[in-house]
Amino acid sequence: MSLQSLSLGSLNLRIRKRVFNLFFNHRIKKNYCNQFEHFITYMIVLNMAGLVLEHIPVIYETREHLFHIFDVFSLVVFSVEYALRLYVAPEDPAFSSAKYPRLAYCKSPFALIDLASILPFYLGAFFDADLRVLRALRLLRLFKLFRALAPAVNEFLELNKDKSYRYKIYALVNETPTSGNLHHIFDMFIVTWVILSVLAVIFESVHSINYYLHSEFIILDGIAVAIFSTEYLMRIYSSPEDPKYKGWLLGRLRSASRPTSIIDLLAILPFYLEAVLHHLFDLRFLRVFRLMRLLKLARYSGATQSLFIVIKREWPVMKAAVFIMLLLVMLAACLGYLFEHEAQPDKFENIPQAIYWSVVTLASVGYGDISPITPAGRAITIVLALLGIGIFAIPAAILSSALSDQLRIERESMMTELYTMLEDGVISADEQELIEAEAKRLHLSQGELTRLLEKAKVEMGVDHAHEKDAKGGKPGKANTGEMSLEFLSKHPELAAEQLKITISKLQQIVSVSDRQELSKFVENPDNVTALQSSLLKLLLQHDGDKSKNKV
Amino acid sequence: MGKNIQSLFRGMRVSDFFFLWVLFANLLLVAYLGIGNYQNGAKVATSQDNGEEIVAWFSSLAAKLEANEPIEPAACKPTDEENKFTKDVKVNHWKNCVEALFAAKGPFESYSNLLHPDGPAYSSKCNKKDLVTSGSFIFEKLTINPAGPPGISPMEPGEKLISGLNIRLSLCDTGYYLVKIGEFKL
Repeated sequence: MSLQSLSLGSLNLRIRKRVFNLFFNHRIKKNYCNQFEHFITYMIVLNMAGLVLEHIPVIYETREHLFHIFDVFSLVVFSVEYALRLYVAPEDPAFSSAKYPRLAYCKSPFALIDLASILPFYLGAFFDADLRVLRALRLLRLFKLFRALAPAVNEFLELNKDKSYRYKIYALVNETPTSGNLHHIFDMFIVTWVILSVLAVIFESVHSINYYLHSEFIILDGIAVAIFSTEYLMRIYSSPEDPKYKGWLLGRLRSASRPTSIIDLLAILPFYLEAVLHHLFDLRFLRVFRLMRLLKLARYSGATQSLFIVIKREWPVMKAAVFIMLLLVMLAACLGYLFEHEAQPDKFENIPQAIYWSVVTLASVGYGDISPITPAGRAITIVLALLGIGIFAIPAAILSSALSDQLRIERESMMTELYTMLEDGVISADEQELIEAEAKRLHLSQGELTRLLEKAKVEMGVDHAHEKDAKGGKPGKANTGEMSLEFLSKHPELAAEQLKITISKLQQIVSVSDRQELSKFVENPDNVTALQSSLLKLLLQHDGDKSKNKV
Repeated sequence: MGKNIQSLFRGMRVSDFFFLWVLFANLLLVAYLGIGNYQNGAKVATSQDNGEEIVAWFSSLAAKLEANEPIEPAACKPTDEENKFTKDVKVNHWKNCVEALFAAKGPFESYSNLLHPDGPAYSSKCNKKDLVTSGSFIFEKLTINPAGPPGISPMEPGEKLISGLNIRLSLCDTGYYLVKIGEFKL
């Protein structure tokens, strides 16, 4: 009986540890911790969206049961999360040292928030409580987001504790070495609001939706403008922290005239202009400009930046292609006008109309609203259509080849970085993180990255390294590139690599040292042990042979 | 966390405080303009509800005519298509009908222009140059076109009220766009 209970107890411990390591242990990289946290975060955001939508009668009244099902599902998810966290509390380093780890967990602020987010539902099931109050209490689920936010804020403040207030703002809105996770959360927040506000602008144009949700769209737009204008002010205020924009006024003006800043401004300007000047000018067209907010996403896409670089680099060639295109368009338009004007004065009324026809023909669009009827006009059209295929393809071909070129250049510079990192023979955890971030930016798959790493290792003479060596962040590897003895004792192949690196380093030291002085030092038995003496003599002899061969 | 938050504001310069004030002032401005926009939006929503009542009232006319029930105001009673040229039959005009509807003791007496209280409750066109038309109801005549979408023209004051006349009711919103509320047939 006691044996059975003992094995049950150990099984329970094993399961608890396994559950903790799988879902809650941040120190393990290859577990489901991040996925689990993301899932919970999405659930919270969806809950908030659901709460907002419930207050829109036209949406809620016809789908009440769906809202209820979602609410029950959320409750189950949050309850399971709470129960799991309570269950694994003794494994959590934050509570394991307490006398009663689970009690310590229950008293922690995050656990109280978690409980408050699910308790109203259970209270409602057992007690006759006011449903409106219970619904309002569901807003407490929003506080669960602090679980993700609080560590990021702490990390950010810790990284920037000696920095000025302006630098902190700069680090929050821009990627810097001290930005940490909070910057990524900030970026995610802005991206989410860009997508939300653009969707709102699109749906606003659908009469049947706007008719019922007009007020909701106004609220959404107000919040979006508050967020984007705050972001804009933060970027402009903190721009002098960037060495390129030094100077409190000129620096800021230069920063404000950047294309990305202009896009940011255009995203918020319609709101102010329409509210202030709508009775003076017809500013309805400005509403469409709110769609410019989509361009804000360009800041977060490495691919867009690569495209801009390519266009800038290939601009002289593109200019030549555009010039030829313009020449052809004008020539074709003039000929079209010449041959068709008399036959179709309503369609080929003037040269601008003929330009429209020639562009439509050259681009192989062929709407058919204007078409030639004279034999000469038709002959020109044949030539034009055939030429158009080639001429319009030139800029596309230039762009595509330049883009692949740019990608190759970026990959080559990544390889150079890899060579630099591999100079000491190993890749530290920090270096690995940098490589992975760069690989993500260049859209390299894990397989491609491993292949590049292997290639770099072979070329740097660190070949035959174990695959695991490349993944970094594993136990036994310190930031300095040295591996612990314990780790090496378990990995003989890595130990062999480490020995090879050490011998190479010894050879380098011997080659740059004064050989005579070194020999004298080695020959003195007070300076070195017998083994050290033999080893050093061997190295000196090897270095001497190498020098002779060179001569 | 608390200590870290304190460290955030430590060593702030005058320019930092100025920035925070600008940020705060901007948020206040956005809130002020946003509330204004929201109030206007709420007025548009109320006007839409009123408009739906008007459409429902006109839609019930046909049923009343069939049941030989009296129509109040009488100025809105449509004439049958076949009697419109008969000399002794009095044909009502749109101007009289709409005036009677929105006049004191009319069924829509309380429906005013919520966006511009001094402006008209209804007008023939949503006109950007005439600012007070924003918030007013716009009645338009629909001419059925078998080949495509119906032709739309403003309801002229002298338009005869004939059974079968298609009318569209819209609201001129804050941006002088027409917000379609509904269509009805006399």
